[in-house]
Amino acid sequence: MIVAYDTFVGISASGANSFEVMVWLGLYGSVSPLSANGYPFTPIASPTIGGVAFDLAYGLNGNVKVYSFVAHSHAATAFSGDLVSSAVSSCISSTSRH
Amino acid sequence: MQLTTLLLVAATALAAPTPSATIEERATEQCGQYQSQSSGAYTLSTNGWGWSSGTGSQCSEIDSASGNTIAWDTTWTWSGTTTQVKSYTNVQQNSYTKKQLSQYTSMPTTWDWSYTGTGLSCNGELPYISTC
Repeated sequence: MIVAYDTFVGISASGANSFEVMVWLGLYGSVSPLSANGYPFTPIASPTIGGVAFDLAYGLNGNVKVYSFVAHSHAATAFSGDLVSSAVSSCISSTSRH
Repeated sequence: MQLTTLLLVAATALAAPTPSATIEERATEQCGQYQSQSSGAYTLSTNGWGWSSGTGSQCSEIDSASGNTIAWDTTWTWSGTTTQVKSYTNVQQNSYTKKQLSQYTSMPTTWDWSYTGTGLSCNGELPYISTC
């Protein structure tokens, strides 16, 4: 079971999405985000957003690049943060070599 | 397994105009495979795309919606294939405008939620293969 934000970004307002960026605040059970480096995933970055520590996973779903920020605690039940923060954008841009 | 989540999310939608305050208490629960319910600026949608791979049910409802805040809950019970998603429910803000990402300087959000349940038995990865 997961509790997550799910956002989509494309190259035009009406076009298909090229990126999916998720923020997992809750994770119960043995579920994993999509990962290109195996399971369990090895975080490609570990940013702090809104005071909450996240582990970042990356994977490719078809043509869509999927970034999943997973709360390290798996239970960030009171989250307040900025999803366009420098922590988010720098993690994605610095790993966009994928 | 019996699972319940209570969710409250407040998303300040950037440059989107603030919708007028609306409060709607305890609308009818949505227990169908693909259903939706709207209140104020938000729409709740159920998605039971793995409905047929298990036995169980999911019911969701908007508890209240006011301005840029929504409270909702979902309750589910599933058995069946442990590597297949059975269902999920999402809420979406209706009035946002698609913009170039660089035009967003911030996207502040708050989400308070709780979960009670037992008997989780699932594996796999999202969104590529599965979970439950």
